[in-house]
Amino acid sequence: MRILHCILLFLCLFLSGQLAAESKIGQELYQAYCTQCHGKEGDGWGVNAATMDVLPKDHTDTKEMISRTDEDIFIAIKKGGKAVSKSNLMPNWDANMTDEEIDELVVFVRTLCCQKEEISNEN
Amino acid sequence: MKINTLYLKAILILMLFQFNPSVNAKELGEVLYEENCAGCHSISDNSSITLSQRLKEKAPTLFYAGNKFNPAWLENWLVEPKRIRPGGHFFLDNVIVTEEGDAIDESKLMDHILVSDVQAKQITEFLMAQTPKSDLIALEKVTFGKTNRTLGEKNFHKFKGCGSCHQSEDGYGGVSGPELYTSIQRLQPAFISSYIRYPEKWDPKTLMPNRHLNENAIEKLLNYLNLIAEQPE
Repeated sequence: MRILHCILLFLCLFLSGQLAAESKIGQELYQAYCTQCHGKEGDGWGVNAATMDVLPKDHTDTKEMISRTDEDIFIAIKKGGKAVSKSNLMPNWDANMTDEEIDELVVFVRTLCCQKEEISNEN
Repeated sequence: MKINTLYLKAILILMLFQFNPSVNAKELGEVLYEENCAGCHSISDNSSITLSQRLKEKAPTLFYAGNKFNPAWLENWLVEPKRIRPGGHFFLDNVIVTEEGDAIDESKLMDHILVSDVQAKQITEFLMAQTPKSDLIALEKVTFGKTNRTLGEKNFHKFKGCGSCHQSEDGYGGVSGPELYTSIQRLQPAFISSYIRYPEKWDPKTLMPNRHLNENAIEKLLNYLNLIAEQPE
């Protein structure tokens, strides 16, 4: 039984390490491609927002973001806003990121919007 | 040791320059490049660069400078450099979070070094000899045509979203990308066309998206860039 606990503990630590690593790649991708419009803190007030016709999405808006599936976010990043019936100003990043990288970016976006909500639901 | 080698090279080239000034201007430019530019600008092949490396670059690559810049503009600019990217090379290095939203901290932006007329000519000669990716340039045929300013502006800002990152006039448009109202003076039209078509082929970790525009759409954008180009004084 003790061995089983040890294995479970090891697995938990390993998986949380994996998620942290993914999130780190996602964070770098977010900084490079997203912060210019969505802001350094993801609140939608990036340096480019001032003269834009449509305000970039606030990724810290839990209520709004929790209604989007991971697939919605993936498609919006890969194919652009138009592909999810949103603003054309959100470009398609398919030539800049692989699908695996976009997956990691989605994980990071979730940490901005929904981590608090998930933690409170767990409690 | 590296500095000593550079000085030796410079002396040798200066001696050669006495006998054949036109041929060796490029070599003098190389020495000047190594001394003044290489600390921030890379000139090596960028095809396997990682995103982390790209974000740590202090200035744009000059790997394909000869296929990118208009030489007359480059020479003049080196003597009297003006900022082209309102947010700096990588905007995030210069961002501060304010109550009104993110802003560029002007105090973080560095001025470009300036050189003499003669040095600018020599550096330009050297940089214009850097012409990899010419196969991409060969695919482009640019001829400017008439365009309507109102429609062009709407297309640039609203339909194609270029204005989100690029300025179409001083102070109007995004600040993370280079200003585009001076693009026609700065850049070779075939390069602009090719960069819109395949940004990732020029710079694998470019921050510019490939919007998969067709020939007609690229032509429209180029005509608009030509229309908004500031005329040299």
